[in-house]
Parts: sequence; C-alpha cells; structure tokens
Amino acid sequence: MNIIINGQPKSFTAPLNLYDVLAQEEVIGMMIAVARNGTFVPKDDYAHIALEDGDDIEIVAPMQGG
Amino acid sequence: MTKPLTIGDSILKSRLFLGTAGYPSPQALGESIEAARPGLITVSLRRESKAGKGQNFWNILKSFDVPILPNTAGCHTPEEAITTAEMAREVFETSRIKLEIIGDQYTIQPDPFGLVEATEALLKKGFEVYPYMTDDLVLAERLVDLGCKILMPWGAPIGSGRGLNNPYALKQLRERFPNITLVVDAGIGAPSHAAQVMEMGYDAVLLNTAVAKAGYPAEMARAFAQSIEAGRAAWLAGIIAPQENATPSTPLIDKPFWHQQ
Repeated sequence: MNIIINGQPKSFTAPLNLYDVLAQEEVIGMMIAVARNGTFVPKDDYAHIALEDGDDIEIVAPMQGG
Repeated sequence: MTKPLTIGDSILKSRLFLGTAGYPSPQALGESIEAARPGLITVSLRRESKAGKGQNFWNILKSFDVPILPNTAGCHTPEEAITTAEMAREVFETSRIKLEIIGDQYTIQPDPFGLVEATEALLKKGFEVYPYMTDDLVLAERLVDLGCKILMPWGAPIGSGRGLNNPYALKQLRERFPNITLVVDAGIGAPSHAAQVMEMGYDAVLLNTAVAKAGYPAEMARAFAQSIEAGRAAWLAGIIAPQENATPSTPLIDKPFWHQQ
C-alpha cells in the first residue's frame, strides 16, 4: 500500500490505520496534528482511521511564524 | 492610564504582538521575547518528522508563558487555511487563529474573497478569528458582519518595513469600527511606525521582521515595546489637532516693550 507522508510516497503493509503509520514514522507522543487527504483528523481518531492506497497524510508541528 | 488589552477571556500584558520567525538564533528569539514582553506571540505549523524539529522550537517558546497566536501562513485557499486552523487548535490548545490566505505571491497580499469564506467557516467552528486583511473598508464591514471581533489590516506588505502605506484608510477603519479590536499587522519597520499606529487609536501592533532582522533584535524589541506604550498613552491623552497657522505658546500679556512703537 502506498501512502504519501508529508509529500513523500512511502510503502506500507496493509491493512493499516493512521495510528500505525504515525507509530512507524516515530512521531507518536510528539506535539503534532494530522490531516488526511486535506481534512483534519483529531488525535482521538488515529486508531479508527483505516488508510487506503494513495492516501495523503500531513503531519505538522509547531514552527516559527509571523 | 493605559488599561491592558482584553480579547475574549484573555487580558494581555502588552499591545505588542511579536512574531517568532527569522531570528538569527534561538537565543536571539528568546532575548527578544524577554525584552518585548509581548501580549501574544505568533507561531506556525510545518511538516514534522521523527527528528522532532518542531518539538525543540516549542520547548523554547513554552518557557515564556506568553499566549500563543497560531497562523495559517502560506495557505492559498480557504480549504487549506481551515484545515491548518483545525490542526493548530489541537497542537496549541487555543481557538485563536491568525487567518492568513495569500492572494498575490508578489506582495503576499491577503485574498479578501478567500478570507471571507474561511472566516465564516471558522467562526461556525468556534474559532476566535484574527483575520489578516488589506485595509479595505467594505471587506472589514463584511468580516464584522460575520461576527469578527478583531480585524488585522496590513500597514504594508509583509516584511517590507515600509510603515503605513495608507494612513487614511487605517484611520477610516478606526473611526468606523470603534468597538472592534484593531491591530495593524505587517509592514512595520521602525518604532515610529508602531507609535503612529497607536496614536491613531489602534489597539495593538503585530510585527516580526523589524525585530528579527534588526542589528540587535532584543534592543529593537524593547524599542518597539516602548514606542507602542508611548503611542497608546498619547492617544488616550488626546493629541492636539494640527493647524495651518502658528500659535505662540508663550503668553504675550505683560510682555515687556509690548506695543511700543
């Protein structure tokens, strides 16, 4: 299964939920937020979101801003 | 004489809102926050990896105990901005959002049409929207009609340091919206620009580049804090109206040699 993580295509073994991907990306426990295919996903839903081939995941964290 | 600025349930310690981008070092950022003692500090969201860059930045900021104003910088559509705002609310645990939707890449001018659309959606979702906008009066009316309590017109394009391109339009906004919190955001270069904003009766000034790119950021941060305080005090004290003709400040009554010709 191919998933795009922060603009980079990556391969994962299906079936897969959003929490699994975040765990494999080693960002669980960090101060992050996530969007799937352009839609915000609350953190309580990570484990309930089954991913599909081609899903586009954005993982963001605090950064400098004006 | 100057009362603290209250926005929503928050009583802010200062009328200077300070950005956190572009400083020469994390130390310079920290020293500038210490010197400015800002009422709000602005932050953004960017892609994160296991390297945890964003976590390190957050660890610096959270030690200052200054309320956070997340932005949607870099967004070009209402949809991007709305999703970014929702992510910011979860990360920073605040419903404040500086709503920024870029309409023109060259001037980074905010897109008024996208701004209205996204503002309406975010207000319905319970956000406290701080719209970064041009100084257009009709746009301001539309945003206030939607329920905005705060407006943030630009002084000049972001990072330009030009000061106030259109003081007339900014004064019009102040006169037309006496009960809306008005903040000039962007384009400020010198402390005198910030004082000019406050002398117009604006409620606060948001700036970043003028401090971050100064020769000595912390000293400039302090200078801005002082100018904003001075400008606010001057507005409250009542600035005299300019006149075409001279008026002697020293009384002429009993002046020696008076009328001796």
